[in-house]
Amino acid sequence: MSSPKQRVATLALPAVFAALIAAGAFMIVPMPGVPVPLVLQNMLAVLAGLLLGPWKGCLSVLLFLMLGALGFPVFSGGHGGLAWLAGPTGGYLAAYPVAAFVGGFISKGSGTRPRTALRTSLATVLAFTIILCLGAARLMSYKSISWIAALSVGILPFILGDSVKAVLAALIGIRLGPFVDRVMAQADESFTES
Amino acid sequence: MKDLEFFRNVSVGQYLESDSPVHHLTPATKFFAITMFFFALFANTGVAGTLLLGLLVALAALAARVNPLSLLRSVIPALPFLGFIALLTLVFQQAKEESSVLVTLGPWQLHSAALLAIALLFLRFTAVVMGIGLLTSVTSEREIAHGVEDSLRPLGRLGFPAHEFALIIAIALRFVPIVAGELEGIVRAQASRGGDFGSSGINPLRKARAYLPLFVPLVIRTLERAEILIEAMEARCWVGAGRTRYATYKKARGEDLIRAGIVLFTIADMAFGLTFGRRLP
Repeated sequence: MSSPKQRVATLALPAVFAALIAAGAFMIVPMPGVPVPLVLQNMLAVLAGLLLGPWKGCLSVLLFLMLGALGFPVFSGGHGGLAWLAGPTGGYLAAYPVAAFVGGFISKGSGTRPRTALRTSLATVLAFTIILCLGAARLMSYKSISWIAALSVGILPFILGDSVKAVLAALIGIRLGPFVDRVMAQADESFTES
Repeated sequence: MKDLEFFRNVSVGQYLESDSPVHHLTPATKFFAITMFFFALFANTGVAGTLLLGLLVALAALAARVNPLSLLRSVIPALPFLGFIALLTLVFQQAKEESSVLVTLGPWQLHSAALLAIALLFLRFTAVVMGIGLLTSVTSEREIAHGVEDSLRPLGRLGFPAHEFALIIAIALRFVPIVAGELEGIVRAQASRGGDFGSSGINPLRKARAYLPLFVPLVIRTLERAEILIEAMEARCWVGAGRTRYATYKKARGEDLIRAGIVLFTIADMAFGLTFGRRLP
């Protein structure tokens, strides 16, 4: 049985982080040479996994998707509603929790296995690859287009922007990972695994 | 600096306070209605069935004293995106045996099936936007959290933490404007110290580094907020399920009838869409 404080932390941390991902909808960064502006939410979703660990990270991303599905304008550019999840670009959104889980699983430190920069970087690259591939796969199945077409509209335009975000996510993950671990350890001494 | 766009006074949802009968339905009934609406919509009832659903939403909006046209307005920002998808459909359409060729331009042919698919895409998207828009117009944030909890309560008997789930939804909703405000404060602070986020070349590493002073404080402040929240909840002896609510909801007269009507309409719409709708062009 977990302590009351640990239970509160298990609820509050993902909830507040989901709000952070949702707030990411309001920041749009233009990229030189790329027509599609940078959306920062996939980076924040990956970051949720890197910082909070697989379970809490995945929960916070699912919560964010839930808010969007309920119709709140939390998806990038102020969109909301189930249509975005079920629509052709829903694959990218649906891949967020998977990416957060995988990223968190790889990068997460534990008592015997501290966080390392190498594992965090690896987790970030893998998480972004998952988002791009699942997103393109959904685009391919939704419009029944060939995989070459899906690659050219669903992956290639985002490579530059996503590599920027991957570098940023890895840098933040490396820098803030130990800080988050400390916050969680304060909530409960035996908080090393959720 | 102007490259970073922020929505000032971020408001989540667009609740319109009113005294209409639709507003007075319990949150659980509203969620039931929207669930059945999605059920009917994604049962693929074709153009006719989707049109009928859109009409129902418009009628419900009128009953709620919400202008149906204002619900339609939220579709506008999605139009370029929908147009792009429509273009993809036209370029990469795959010939189906049952569809007839309408126009031939060199190697490219316009199939009736592709046009139908595009019409359905637009219709379905519009219907979803209208339905969700109506729900958030007649349901306040607190009612949404309570509606989620009430709708999930049957799952609670199977061990699903319905109360906790509703709580984290409510927390997340409350914190979106707070985090957005923090973000704006940090950007302004960095800009006043000469921070530049718009133009730093295309070197990914350098560009990413330019954003570090933005995200590190943002994440730290968010986590600090979470820590304060945890302390506050613990200090107030939060125990989870079993708490009573300040707001209680009483079913209005005839609310069960409305639920039954929604079920009947869903069945009728699906029957209509799946039989007649398929034969329409």
